[in-house]
Amino acid sequence: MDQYYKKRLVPLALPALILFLMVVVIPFIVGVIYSFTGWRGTYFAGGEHFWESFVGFDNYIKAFKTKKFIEAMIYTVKFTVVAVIVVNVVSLCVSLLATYLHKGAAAYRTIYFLPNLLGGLALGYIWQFIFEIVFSNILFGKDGVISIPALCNMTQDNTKALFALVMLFTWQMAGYMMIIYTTGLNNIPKDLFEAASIDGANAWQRFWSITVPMLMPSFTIVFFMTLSKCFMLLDQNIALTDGNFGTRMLATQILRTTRDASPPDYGLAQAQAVIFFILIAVVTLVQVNVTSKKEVEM
Amino acid sequence: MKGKKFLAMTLAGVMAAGMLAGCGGSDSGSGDSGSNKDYDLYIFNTKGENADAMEAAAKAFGEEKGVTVKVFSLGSGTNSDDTLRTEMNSKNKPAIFSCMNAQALVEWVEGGFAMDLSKATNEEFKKLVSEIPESFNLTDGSANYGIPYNVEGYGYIVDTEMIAALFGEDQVDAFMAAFKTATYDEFEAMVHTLTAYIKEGTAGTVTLSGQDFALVAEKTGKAASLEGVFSVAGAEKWTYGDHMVNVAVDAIFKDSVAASEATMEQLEAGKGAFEAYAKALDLKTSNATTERGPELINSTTNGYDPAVATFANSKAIFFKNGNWCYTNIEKANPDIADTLAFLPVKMPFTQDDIKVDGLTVDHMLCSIPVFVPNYYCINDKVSDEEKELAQEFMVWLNTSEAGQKFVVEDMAFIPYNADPATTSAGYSLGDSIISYMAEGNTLTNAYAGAPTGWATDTFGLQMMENYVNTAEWPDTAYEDIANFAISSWAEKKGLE
Amino acid sequence: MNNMTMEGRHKAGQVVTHILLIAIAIYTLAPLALLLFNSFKSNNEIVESPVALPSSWSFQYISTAMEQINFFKAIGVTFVITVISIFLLVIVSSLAAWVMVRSKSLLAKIMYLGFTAAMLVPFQSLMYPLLDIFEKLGMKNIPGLIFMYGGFGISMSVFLYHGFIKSIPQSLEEAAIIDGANLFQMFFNVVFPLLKSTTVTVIVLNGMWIWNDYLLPFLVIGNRDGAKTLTLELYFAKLTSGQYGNPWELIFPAVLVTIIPIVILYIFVQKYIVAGVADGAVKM
Repeated sequence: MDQYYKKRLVPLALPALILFLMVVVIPFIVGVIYSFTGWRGTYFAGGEHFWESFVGFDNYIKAFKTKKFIEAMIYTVKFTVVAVIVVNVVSLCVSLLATYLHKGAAAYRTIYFLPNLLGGLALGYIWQFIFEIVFSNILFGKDGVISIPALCNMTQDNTKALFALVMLFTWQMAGYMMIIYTTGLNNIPKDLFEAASIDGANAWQRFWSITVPMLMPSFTIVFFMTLSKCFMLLDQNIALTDGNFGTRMLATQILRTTRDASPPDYGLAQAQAVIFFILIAVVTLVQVNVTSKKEVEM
Repeated sequence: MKGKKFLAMTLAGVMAAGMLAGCGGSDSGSGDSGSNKDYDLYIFNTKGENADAMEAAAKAFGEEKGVTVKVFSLGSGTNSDDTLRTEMNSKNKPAIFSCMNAQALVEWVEGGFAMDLSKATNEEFKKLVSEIPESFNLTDGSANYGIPYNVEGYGYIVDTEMIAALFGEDQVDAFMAAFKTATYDEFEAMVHTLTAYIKEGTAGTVTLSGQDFALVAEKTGKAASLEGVFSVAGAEKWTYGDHMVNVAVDAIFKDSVAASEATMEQLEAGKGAFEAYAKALDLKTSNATTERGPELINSTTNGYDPAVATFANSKAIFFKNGNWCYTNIEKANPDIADTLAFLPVKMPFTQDDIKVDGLTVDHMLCSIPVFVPNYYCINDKVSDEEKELAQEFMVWLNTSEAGQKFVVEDMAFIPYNADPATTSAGYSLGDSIISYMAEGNTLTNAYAGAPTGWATDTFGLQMMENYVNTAEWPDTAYEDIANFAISSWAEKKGLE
Repeated sequence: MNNMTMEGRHKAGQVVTHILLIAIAIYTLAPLALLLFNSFKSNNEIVESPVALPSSWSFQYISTAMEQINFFKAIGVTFVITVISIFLLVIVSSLAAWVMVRSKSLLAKIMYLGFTAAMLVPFQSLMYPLLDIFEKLGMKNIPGLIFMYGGFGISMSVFLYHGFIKSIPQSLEEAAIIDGANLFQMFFNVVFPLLKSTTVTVIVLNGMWIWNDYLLPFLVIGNRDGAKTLTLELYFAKLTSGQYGNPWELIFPAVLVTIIPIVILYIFVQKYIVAGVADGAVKM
């Protein structure tokens, strides 16, 4: 029987392979190659073909010497740390509250998931308006309902903009992550809690000794998803601040690199993108490894 | 059986998608990606504002010569670089494409796209090229590559009816003339007098070029709605990053070519000019309709459109912008459109600050920058026939009566080769520019020679993030701004 | 007595929880309410009184916005792109995942590893070469765009199917073969129906992404005449009507009409969406 399938492996997987190769694999390899050349978008500096234009690791060295790239990397990491924590705490708390309810949980879930249906661009426009007009003028401005300078002009300051972006991101993602946590919570056998209650464990003890360990697989997934989404955030970054006030994140930085010089340095942009890939791969693989190990330990 | 049918459908679907894709289906609206071209001449136009007129001009030319012309125009505000690069990568490259300035030109010269115009084959075209005024050339220092689209200019836009409301109907012409030659100190005193008038109602007297102009005691008519002296689009970093700082760069470098060859010594010698810019910006932003601070750079309330509206609704006296802004002002308030004029942007230069031979403080005080915003280039990588046709089109557009009609009337352009004595732009701000050209009171756009990304994204950004959004400037602000201008320019350029 | 207080405390807990969740729901819905209200206001009214109810419920701005973004055409284009892409993805990835699970060869394992590893590749790292290659093939057009969605979606889809198919016993298929069914009959009659829940997941996760995607249509279709997707129309409408400003009286209604179809769809199929998201997570 195995032979029956083995013979058909290549023909049946072929359409998938063709798509995959053409759209992902080949462009990725080409991209890695181009990152070692003086690619200018429409031509190769120094020759007709890319092999005449090799510059070795120059683009990589240049990338690490580009202040904006380093700043973007630091800002992306800062944002990711804050956003991953906030999204996880919020969505876990909401899931715990919702599962505690006797009825109505589904209705809340329906509402919380709504922001996911909006594209990043549309959502960015709305929040830009909220931060610039509603927050700065009406609610928290000098003549607003209550004056809270920290919530005013949030798109005009490096640190405030980070939290503005976190607010937006949490608003958008919490509903999604909540579904995953809720599923995880519902999968915990109820008799475990009952047994613990009989043994005299209070709610806090039950949470730490039963809920958290049983929820470990959900943690792995939610962490993975929020981590990679935070790292790759683009639309919201552009719509909210357009990278002003030092708020450029890595994805925006790569997109804008070609505008920062004339002639446009596509080779440099490509080198930054390769570094970006390595960073994401390392971070997410380490995270999945660590949290998976915890799953086993617990 | 059901399975088989489903399978057949599926495979057909997948194959159809693949084949459509493979053959580059032409029904997708992406134009021609196949190799068969269905045109004789392809023009890539990056000015969205003249898209319709360009289409009409190309059609008229095509009918006259019996050829098919394809025009591709980008919407205004779109970043055209990526699209143009895509077209340059395709089999059917545009024969005529647009290029903004010498900095953008580097890419197309290095890649072998832009044609050296001295290699032209058409005699009439050679003549056209030789007649372009030297300061309007698009050059990399050795060869000439571009035919100008048109000329544009900018300065403080003012509504002459507002001047009438402030100083009396009979004073308008005298005021306008006296303003042009007034010193910066007179200008500064005037701004303070006007602010006091607007805020406290004290009707003082303004002295310009030694002449006195008394403010009307009661604020009436358009003066009644005033909220500040200047309307400032604080959220648009290009307004002070590109155009305003250009006036200072003009004092240091003769033109964009000279600026692109800047040395460290030249930049450092320009410190005084950059400080003069900082003082002028300080004066402008502290007398704006919106208080200087975070509110001034809020893109919802102080972006381009709101700033235009503020000016158009007579809430401010001066608005620094160019003639391209005319249609926006007209849209916001058509009543004001016919009485607009330009006044020069003044900065407190001393003769020592000016590093260009023959340029005087007096000339800088009374002049506005007039420059070429965009050029047509011919693509060296298209067939010889198409290159020839491209040259013919350029000649036709810029010299024939029919072509000029499209340029002046339909595109509402001021032709670069216009004779100021006989040309009329047909609208107030355009005519105002022509009058400056006729008097010879023009400056260049030297800032276009600054390193790519310096003007808006480095210097303008610095101004926005640290000064335009800050009510109180430190004592060292002027010097800091000048030092930043020099050091960031040098850094971008790789100067030591 | 003791029981009573327990129950009372429990009831109070329920009420407090409801209040908390309602507060969060308000936070979630407020921006959307803002979007709805401001779709009926003029620019001035939006800026002057952004959080108030509109002074009149006139559909003038909505209809202008729909015209501006060529709503019906754009929604058709987006729909066609999304549906064909998903159809392609479902068929291609389920077949591939199935045969990869069943053949148990080293090659299949390598292929699987390749597909899953690609989930970590950021779009930016292959964006420029991808466009370059598709340009040279003459595929920078809508069919090419669909092809790209197929390629980008395949990793996750194969991954999801692979995880599920592993749990289906092979015996059913063996029985079908003994009955004389050929390979495709067996797959589509026996295997594919069993994959229903995963198929829903694949449709939902890819659908949400493709419908809202902006960057890929922007790079592939750009601002050319003819067919544009909804997000693209939205982006260009904002650009062209206020070159350097924010034409809120256009943005709000335009955003509203672009999300209405998907919200309506959501209300009808939300059960599947929730299941899809939850399943998608579990199988990772």
